[in-house]
Amino acid sequence: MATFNKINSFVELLAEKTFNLGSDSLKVALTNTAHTAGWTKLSDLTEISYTNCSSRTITTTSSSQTSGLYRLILADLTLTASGTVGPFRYIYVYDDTATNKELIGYYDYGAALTLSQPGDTFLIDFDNSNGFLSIT
Amino acid sequence: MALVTNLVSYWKLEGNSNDAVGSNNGTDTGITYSSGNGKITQGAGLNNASSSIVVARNANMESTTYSFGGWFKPAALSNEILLSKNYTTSNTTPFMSYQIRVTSSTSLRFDGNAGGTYYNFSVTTPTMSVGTYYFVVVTYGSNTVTVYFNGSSVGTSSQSAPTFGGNGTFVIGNDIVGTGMAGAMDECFYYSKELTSAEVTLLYNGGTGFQYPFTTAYTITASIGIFLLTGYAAVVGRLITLVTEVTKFSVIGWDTVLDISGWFRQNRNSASYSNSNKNTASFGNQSKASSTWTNQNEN
Repeated sequence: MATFNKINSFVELLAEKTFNLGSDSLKVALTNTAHTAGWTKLSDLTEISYTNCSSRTITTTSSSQTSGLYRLILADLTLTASGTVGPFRYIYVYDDTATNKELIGYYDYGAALTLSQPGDTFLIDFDNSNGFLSIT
Repeated sequence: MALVTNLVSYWKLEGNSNDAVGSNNGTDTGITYSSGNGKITQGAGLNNASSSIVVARNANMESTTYSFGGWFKPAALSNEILLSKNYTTSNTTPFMSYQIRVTSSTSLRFDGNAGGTYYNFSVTTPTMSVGTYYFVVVTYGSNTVTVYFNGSSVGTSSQSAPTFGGNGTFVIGNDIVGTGMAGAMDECFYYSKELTSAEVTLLYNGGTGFQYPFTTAYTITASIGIFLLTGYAAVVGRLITLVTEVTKFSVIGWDTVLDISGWFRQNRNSASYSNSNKNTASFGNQSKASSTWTNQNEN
């Protein structure tokens, strides 16, 4: 299981209402460059070309709290290649609605990956029960 | 380098000889499908001349640049027809447009028909054993036939383009004259283009094979990000201020009256003081009316 890596600035920006996780559009960004502390927004990343990649928009399943525990549940996202996609290793989730498309967190696949054939798929399997993130 | 480009037909041979890409389905004779015969899932078991998978002639399988191949598991290593594109219905040379066969444990032979003229050439392979799957691909383009074995080129031959006609069937595990093959075949294909060596390598996939549609599904299982919103305790209550006064203590000394004729000790008893008599002329003869002074002896 790939560990969620927090973008430190996210917590401040969340507190200062940069995000509305209940309504904002979240997307996935792919890069093959390791994370550097201080990256806060999409433009900090060196993204790969998405020419042969399907939509990277994530569907929000729910954004709600129960007994003081907030959960943001995201639907699994499958990226499908129509040609070569990559190489990439790091998968970022960012807020596409926020002014600067601020980063929320990222996952490390562990090795560079290339979708080399049309039809190759890359599934981002979010935790559909516990959520993408929780705040308590 | 999309492996589906110009892919005309692909036979997975999983329970049948249907074409997974187009409509060039095969007709089976004496075929046994099983996982034991398969390289990927199931494959087709063949028993020499009595077995064949015949695909009817179709113009889409008669490109002048082409590639064909598949996985084979020989049960014998003498004269095993792997794949063939036939030309005539009689045993009259050339009765094929092209075909590839095993001729020994270390050789494959390509037979071709260029303008009605038969030719063949053999290539040397690493030693083959019965019961083991191997991968063979034949490509043709730029007047060159190339034979690949287990993903690597093992020989080329300059030849004119193939001639098609007559029977025109494409046969898996046999030829038109019933030479046959003992063993099994799996994952066979036909392209209307010359595959590159890189594409052949991809299909070989390090010996694992790569089945149509040649896609790979990758997954990353994303764990949850947990954020703890922590509220620290606050002291709530009435503010009480303790004011501490600085108490100033003073030593107050009473004035001492110094008589020129002697020391006089003053008594704080003003009454006594007021009653005192100061006889400056002679302190020693001072009369002290007050009882306070009565016992006082001062010199």
